[in-house]
Amino acid sequence: MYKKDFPIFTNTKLNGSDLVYLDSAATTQKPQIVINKLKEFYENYNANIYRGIYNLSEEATALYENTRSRVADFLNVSSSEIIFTKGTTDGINFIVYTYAKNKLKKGDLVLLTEMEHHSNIVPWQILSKNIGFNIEYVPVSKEGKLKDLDKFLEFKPKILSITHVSNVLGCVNDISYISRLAHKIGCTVIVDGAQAVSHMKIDIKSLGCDFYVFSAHKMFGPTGVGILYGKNEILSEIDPVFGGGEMISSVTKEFPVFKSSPFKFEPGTQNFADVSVFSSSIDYIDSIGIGNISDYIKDLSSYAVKKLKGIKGLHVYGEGNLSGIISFDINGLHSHDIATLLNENNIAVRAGHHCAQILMSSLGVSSLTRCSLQIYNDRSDIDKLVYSLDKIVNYFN
Amino acid sequence: MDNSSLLQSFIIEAYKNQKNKKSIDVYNIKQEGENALCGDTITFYINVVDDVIKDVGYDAKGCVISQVFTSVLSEYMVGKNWNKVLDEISFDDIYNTVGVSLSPTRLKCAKLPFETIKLALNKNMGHD
Repeated sequence: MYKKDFPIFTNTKLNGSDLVYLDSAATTQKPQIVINKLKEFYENYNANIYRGIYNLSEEATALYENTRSRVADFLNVSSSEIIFTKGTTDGINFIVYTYAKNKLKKGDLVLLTEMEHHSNIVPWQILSKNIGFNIEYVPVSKEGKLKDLDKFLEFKPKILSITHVSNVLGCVNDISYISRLAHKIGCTVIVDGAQAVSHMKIDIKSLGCDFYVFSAHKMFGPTGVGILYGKNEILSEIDPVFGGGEMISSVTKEFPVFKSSPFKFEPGTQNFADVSVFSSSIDYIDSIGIGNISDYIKDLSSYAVKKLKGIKGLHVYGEGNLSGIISFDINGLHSHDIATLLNENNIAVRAGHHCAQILMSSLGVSSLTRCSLQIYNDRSDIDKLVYSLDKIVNYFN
Repeated sequence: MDNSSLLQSFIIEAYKNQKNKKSIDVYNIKQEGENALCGDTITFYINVVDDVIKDVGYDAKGCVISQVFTSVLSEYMVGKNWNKVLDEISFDDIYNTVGVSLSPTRLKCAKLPFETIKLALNKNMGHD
């Protein structure tokens, strides 16, 4: 019923077949309202923000800052706690170099989990090589449950960086509970929210984490915009790593005086057009209601899992996790072949290691096929997927 | 079925009937190859006598494309001069024989057996 809001489904056909887009965990499609807003911005508001003493610049600034306020309300935090980045990966790297680099010493422990995306592993490994802190990975069950988190916390990690929703298993980590446990031992909690924000109500105050990062493009918004939430008491204490224009109160030949957060963390010309447009993605989500999106995706996930399990030789990983992310393999077939064959019917899925090689290794697989759902998907998309998969399995048997 | 499809009969048949996917007892060249992106792996076992390829066996795990291209290449190789094997058989020859249309990502799967043979040749010539 929401498919009509997304022009890509009208505009793209392959061999006469409609697009069945099942790769929303990689990026979501964009509703007309967001596409229009981008055009509208460039046609009516384009001017560099902050510095212009003229109407156009002031209007552009207001739109940019309006998005900050909208995001802050969306997450139930203050605007000064919202920093715009390029995306989730950029956000994690920001935290690693702006916060963690000064906090960590040789011999300290950073706790990750086996279900992390490479974006929440590799930056830590790079910094660890420089500083010499240790990294431990909390093991994950086949269903996506964390194992022995409490035991790992006994080793007193300085930082726990964890995903909210796994991009492979779709499991949801109980961040409120985890934050409480971690904070008891003074451990900072960083959360990768990339796979949560588009379909779950995110109330940072109730999650209790210290940092939360995500990408606009995975919630119907433009590419190149990320959101970093950081607690005011932390952001006010740390200095920026990147310097430039607009992030300073004054510059002398010695050392500059920085503006307060978030401005001290946004040097130079920002991606103001895309950030400004991002508020319309939140408008779109609000117009449906995040609770309704959540219910819809749960229902569709449940339908998809039930149908997929009827396919001979198909095994779903983390089948009880109804977050719109369903990964599976089929006996004797490689995920890339499955994806190539589905593409012949204009069905877009993701195949491979999903930037989660540690999880793949823990699950004992080299690759999986993943379908990820959004509000523009419906049962007919699942039926087409299942029909094509059945055909593929029959060909190879 | 569109003949560019992965489900075309040539590919399905070649996939199901990989006659050199076997271990051979006598070989003097063993070479492993891997496509880290897909997790495809190949190990070639090649018996060369007086510069001529007498027998080829391989073990392959991975996608249909990498296995079919390995199978077809291995069949072409038998009887060829080992040192000149890749001068005599080009990737384009095999690509045309298989007749599938591949995206750039999947081309890497198709090229894996060639890359693996190149590794073995370089080793053989003391380049590795």
